[in-house]
Amino acid sequence: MDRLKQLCIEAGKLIEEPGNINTGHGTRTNEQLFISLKTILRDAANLAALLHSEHAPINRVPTEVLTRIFSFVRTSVTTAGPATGYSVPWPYTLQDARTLHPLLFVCRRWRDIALNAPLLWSHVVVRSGVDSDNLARSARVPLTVSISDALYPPGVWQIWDASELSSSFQAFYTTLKSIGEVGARIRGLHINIRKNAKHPAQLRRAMVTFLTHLDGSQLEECTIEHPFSGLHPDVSPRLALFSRHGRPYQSKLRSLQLASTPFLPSNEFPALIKFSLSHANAVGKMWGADDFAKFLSGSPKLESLYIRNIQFELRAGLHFGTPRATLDHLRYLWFDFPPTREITAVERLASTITYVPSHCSILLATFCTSRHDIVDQLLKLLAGGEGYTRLHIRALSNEGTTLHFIPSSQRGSLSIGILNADPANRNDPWRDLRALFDKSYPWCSAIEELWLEFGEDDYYNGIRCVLGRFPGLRGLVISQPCYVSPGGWYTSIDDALRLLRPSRDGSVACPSLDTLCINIPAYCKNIEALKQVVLSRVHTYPIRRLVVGYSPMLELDVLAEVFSLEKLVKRFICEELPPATGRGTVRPSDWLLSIPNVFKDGILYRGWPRWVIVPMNPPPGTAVHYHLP
Amino acid sequence: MGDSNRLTLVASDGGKFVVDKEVVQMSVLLKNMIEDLGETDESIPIPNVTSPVLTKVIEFCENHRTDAARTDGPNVDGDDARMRTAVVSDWDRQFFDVDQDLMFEIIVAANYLDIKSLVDVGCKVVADMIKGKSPQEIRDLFDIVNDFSPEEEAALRKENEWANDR
Repeated sequence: MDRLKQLCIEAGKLIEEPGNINTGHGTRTNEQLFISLKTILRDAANLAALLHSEHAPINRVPTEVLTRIFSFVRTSVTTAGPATGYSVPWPYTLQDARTLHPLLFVCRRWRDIALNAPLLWSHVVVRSGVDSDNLARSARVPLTVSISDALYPPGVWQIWDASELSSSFQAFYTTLKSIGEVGARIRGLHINIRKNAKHPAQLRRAMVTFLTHLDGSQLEECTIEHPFSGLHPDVSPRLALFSRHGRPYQSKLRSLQLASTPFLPSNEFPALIKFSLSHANAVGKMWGADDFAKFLSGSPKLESLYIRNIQFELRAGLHFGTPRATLDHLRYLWFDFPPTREITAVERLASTITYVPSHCSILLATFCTSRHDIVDQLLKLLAGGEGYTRLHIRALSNEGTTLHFIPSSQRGSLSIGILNADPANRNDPWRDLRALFDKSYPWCSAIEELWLEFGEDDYYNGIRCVLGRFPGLRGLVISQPCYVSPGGWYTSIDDALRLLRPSRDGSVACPSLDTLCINIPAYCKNIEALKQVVLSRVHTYPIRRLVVGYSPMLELDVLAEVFSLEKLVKRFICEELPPATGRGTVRPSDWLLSIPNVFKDGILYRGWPRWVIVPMNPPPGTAVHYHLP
Repeated sequence: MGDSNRLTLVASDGGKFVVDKEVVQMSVLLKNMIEDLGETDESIPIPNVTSPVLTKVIEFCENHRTDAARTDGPNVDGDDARMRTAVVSDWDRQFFDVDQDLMFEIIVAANYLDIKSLVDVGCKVVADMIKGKSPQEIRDLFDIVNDFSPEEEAALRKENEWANDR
């Protein structure tokens, strides 16, 4: 305020000065006086504005908070990662700093704060031309670099513009060089270039040079999707990535996703825990099982291995003497390929690994039902030593069938996707599955706990197909759809449940069945079929534990029937299930799983006792002991 | 002896607020103070925060008292994980539907009391106000004076045009 007063006094003096007077340092003309006055007035105005600005609420915010606000101004872009349009296990997020540019022109303070916060500029999204500003602003902080045209709608920006071929390429090449110069700062590198027939060989060579020479000493996460279309004789099927111009280093790479790339890295990545490889089915020179075994051997800490749409069966098999990889840490193995009737691809993949640890969860998709023996072959090939005692069958008419096997230790699992690919079977999708279970393979006898989750149309044939095929079954969980539709599937399930009732000749499906869990859907008019099952077995093949989840929309008289079942069993748990938000939006099994103290992590709660063998139809007066929690 | 689960906060204007310790502990500053003081009936002065602002801060903490890991987030600016987890709910947006004076006072108070979730939500609300606006629109929104000299502005305009082209 004092400074403002002083400026006003100075201005007043100047106004009173006569023109062309001698100031002692020479004569001042009217024009000079005018300029001096103008300067003083401008300073005064700035000062007044500054004083006013200090009272603006946002200017009371400390610098660190304003920096935080700026960090949120950046646009968060989460990409699906490579293999666009397909499920990819590890998407990544970028903070696009271009939205920060307007902040640099608001006022001096904002500009200073933004330019002096290197972390704001740590995500570099490369577009045509050098993004040297962002690189300079990021000072020495670790970088996440995205070279991508997939972040923008088609036509907005493309790495390669055919109409300006040479200039675009030159700009892109210069960009790669600039990024290469700060390679030692890059922690995350994401290359995602859309398939474009106009991409010339020059671009491919530039990318390969960039990837092979980059200093990857600090790189922790890398995704590369670069459709190398057509033949590419100049690209080796085993490429040494991130060579740092030949200077050795210990790689810190923890996650690597390759999609549509014809090469397999020849590097050793001792810290790698996640590796994804998809859509690498280039013609011509191809890496084979030997190469893959060597790559896996160089990544012994691998925990997640995701292979999608790689035609292993077409590649060279493992040569005699090639060491197989030992992956003691492997926890998840996804092997996803187009529907097939063969297991050659799985055999070839499995041949590269010494063994799959028993704690590993394996997902194999997709086989055709017409080769039902594949399941048996796969179980022999990949089953853990102890075998599988739990089976979860999920069959939704339009999604195929998933067989999910879990060992009794509950460590690891094997899921097999089966697709009804035979058009002749459309009307009876269960024909082949029935054939699978009819064979009564040894693994059928080992199953003790069975989960059934079907589409509405599958309940009649589905339940008839499986019940009776598992002689050792002790626990049965049936999760029904959320609603009963008029004249629909519920009649079918009523009929199918009859199989659980002893027949006149004394035979019964699932004679050892001890525990039954079932949900009662909304609009269900009666539970007679369930009641008859429990009642008919009570003296000969008793169901001792009954878990019922009921819809909150169940009518009271039906609910009363449900509670009347309590007297027929030793242990009865009945819980209202959370309301469904809409038809088909809640999986019926999720309903059932929400019952507290019964299910945990998708299986019967550990606190529940193991199935105990008690004599059927015990003599009167014999006490039946349960190890209930 | 008062309720050991509650304590009294005293705002800069003398206003007193009796609150649950669990709620107060969302503030790292107050949590540390409580640990240092141990069991005590003494009230805790909050010299930098007025009653209206403290009322709002307590309202936020009470609403978010069940949020997991509320004080454990990393405090490095630009941290990706924290960027992703700072979710602004409808309740939060209504909470910050106040005049700018109070909104920024709440954010400053949250920063002083070290309540990370409130700072993040506040910053995100302000960031959303900024996004998509031109420099002049931002100045108008927050009553900020353009203090660049005409020469600087000319140079910046050139830079801005270049940036927009890219």
